[in-house]
Amino acid sequence: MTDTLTKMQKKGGMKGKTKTSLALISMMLPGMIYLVINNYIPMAGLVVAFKSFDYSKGIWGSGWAGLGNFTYLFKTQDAFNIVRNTLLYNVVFILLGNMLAITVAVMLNFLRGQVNKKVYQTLILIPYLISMVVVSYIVYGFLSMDNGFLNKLIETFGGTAVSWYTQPKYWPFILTLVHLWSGFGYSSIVYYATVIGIDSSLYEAASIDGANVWEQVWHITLPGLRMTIITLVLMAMGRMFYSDFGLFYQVPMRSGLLSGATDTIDVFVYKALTQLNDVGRASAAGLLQSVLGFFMVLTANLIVRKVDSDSALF
Amino acid sequence: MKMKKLLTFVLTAAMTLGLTACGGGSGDGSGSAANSSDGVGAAGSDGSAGTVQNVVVAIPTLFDINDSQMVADAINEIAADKYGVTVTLEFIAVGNWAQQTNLLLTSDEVDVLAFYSTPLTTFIKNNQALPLEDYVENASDAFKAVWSDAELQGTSMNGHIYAIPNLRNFGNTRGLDIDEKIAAEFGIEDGQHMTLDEVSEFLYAAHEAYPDRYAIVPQGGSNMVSGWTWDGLGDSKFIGVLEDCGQDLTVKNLFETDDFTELCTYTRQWYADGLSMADALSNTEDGKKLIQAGKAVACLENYAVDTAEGCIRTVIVDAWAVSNSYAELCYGINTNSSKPDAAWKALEMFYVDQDICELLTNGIEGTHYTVNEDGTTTYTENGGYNISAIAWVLPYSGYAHPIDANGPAYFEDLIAFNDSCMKSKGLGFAFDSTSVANQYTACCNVMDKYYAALMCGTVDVESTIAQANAELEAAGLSDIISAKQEQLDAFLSAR
Repeated sequence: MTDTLTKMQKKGGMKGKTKTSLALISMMLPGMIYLVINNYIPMAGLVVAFKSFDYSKGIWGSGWAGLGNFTYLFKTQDAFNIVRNTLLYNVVFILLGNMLAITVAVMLNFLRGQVNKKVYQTLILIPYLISMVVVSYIVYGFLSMDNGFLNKLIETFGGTAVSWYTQPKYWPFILTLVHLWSGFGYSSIVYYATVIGIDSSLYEAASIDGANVWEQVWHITLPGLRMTIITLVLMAMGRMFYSDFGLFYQVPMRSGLLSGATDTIDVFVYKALTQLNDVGRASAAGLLQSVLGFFMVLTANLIVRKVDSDSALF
Repeated sequence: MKMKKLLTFVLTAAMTLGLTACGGGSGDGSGSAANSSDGVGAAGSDGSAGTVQNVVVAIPTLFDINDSQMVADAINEIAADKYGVTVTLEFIAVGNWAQQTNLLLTSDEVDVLAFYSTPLTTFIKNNQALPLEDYVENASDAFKAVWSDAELQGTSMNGHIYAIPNLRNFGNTRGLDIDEKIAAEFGIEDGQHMTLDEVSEFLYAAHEAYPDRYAIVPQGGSNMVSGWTWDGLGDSKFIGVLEDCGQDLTVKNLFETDDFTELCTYTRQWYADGLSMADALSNTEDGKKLIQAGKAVACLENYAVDTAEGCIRTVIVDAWAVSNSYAELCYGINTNSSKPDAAWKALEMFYVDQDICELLTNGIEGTHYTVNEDGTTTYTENGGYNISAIAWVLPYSGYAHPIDANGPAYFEDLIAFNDSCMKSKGLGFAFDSTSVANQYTACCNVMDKYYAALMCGTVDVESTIAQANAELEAAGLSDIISAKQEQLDAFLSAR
């Protein structure tokens, strides 16, 4: 924003400066107001995490609880389990998700013809638009004991049906697969937007120099995507301690037996607090997740800056 | 250039306008609703002394109630003159209930509401429920005749009455619902007592005769049956229970009780032999619907005096009431209400005024229902107000005509059933988990993991119970059990 402003100011000179920036600022204003109301004012509510909340006294009137709201996250034997699940799933999702998305984006770029492009873009985006509740039933259609597609297939080939919903060992794979299937369309379109922005003369020059398709991708497309990759990965790292609640809660069909493999911090907090209805503890979990996520971003950015200072976000 | 400036201005204006309009929209909606009901109140109050205050009443529902405003207007015509209050009826779907009432309770947007779905103890602990003992003491004789002091104990805590029970079945019989045709074939009659052995014998025979149907399905979803012979003492996760329908006063680990092991051993056997649903744990359908659709033969069920279409009901565990049965759904007043006196007046009239009770239960005669010769009601085709099909959500329907499906003596039977059914010895006690909150949270997760799976028979009983007990012990079960026992003993000695 400041960059644009200074450029505009240089162009317009003294007289045009105030008018142009006034117009720009007034255009920015609704967005800023929205941001302040929606994203900054509610931050004051984080204080609830340190309160023993009393509905009759409200947020400010309630007594202080110190760090009491946080202890349940560490005192349980599940604490290690849920943190491990959240982190490992996220690492796998970030790695595989981005690799898949980049591959698809590069492949989309090789498609010729407007109709083809439109059709494929739409097709890969559809899974992203399906609600996780619906996705959970699609998965159920595959895995159900009585009528599941997979179990029928296994039985046709003489095997015995597998009780997917009672055995945790399968679920890291199932959930990763479902996540990749539902998310790859969206992230590959983000990458695709960058890919089509790469100067086509670079490819022409490369092919004149005798570079084959692989070499073009390796030396032109991937370097061109570097900034986007870094930005998206950094943003994903900020959400390292969060998880897609729909995926982890709905897709296993709330089967308790799977909880060792499918419970993440969000799911654990939801399950633990629906009975107690404890606002303080729920906020404590949320606060902890965002603070840890914030430090993840800072660290990751620090590393990026050490390696290549131009690519760092800040 | 001019064109550009104009465009900038127009766009900015459009965005600003859009933003402010969006913000205002939702506010306007609720404002006009409040105004219209205030108008009704003012019109009604003309003749009487004092001001008429409007009270917002939140009632849970399972389906949309389109004509709630029409019924509220009819109630207000009586209430404004007689009681000096008017009401706005807000029917909220049970699926949204917990979240929406939680939001309503943060301010005075609701005055009278049902404490439902979240345990009453949680509402009390969060200071969301107003103590009512002073109001109850000064209430009319008609009101005091509705609930005895012992019954009001069921919605009290630490000497304060926090809510008024509503009229529904407080106890439950547990039994097997069977497809009526198949039951007739096997000579099983409605209301017949069965042991688990006899149930098992029947299920195996039915499985043989109807191999394309599930012999037994869960009562609903992955829930094999709601409760059995153990009393969770106000804790729906059953972490520490009283055995023997609440007659034994020692708090025990559910997984170490004989009744639990016995039931699970049967369901495990049924599951292993293919009598029950292989997908029971991910099932989302209602057991009775599966029976009616011809997909299942029977399901376990809890019930009182109501009947199930197409099924006969047998008895395995005789009717008994859990300790928190009165508190599971009861009506009280929001602590943040700006007019608690008016809220009490509205609440009281729902329990004593026969005309208002009839309106709230059945709607407007002729429009929503007609009365039959035997005193039951039949719905008209209007369909705008049919809450009487689930009258158990309302404060009190005892004076109203029952719907035809329930039979003419429904409410008398219900009240008699409540009086006669066995009560847990811990009746009125509700466990407060604050002192062991961390252990409780951890144990809840263990119970979520194993309870439904064991009840449905999807896992081996002996090894799973051993594993669950080890996890419960590590999660601090003994702390919870001793806290529960201590609170229960204190409660019993105070009474």
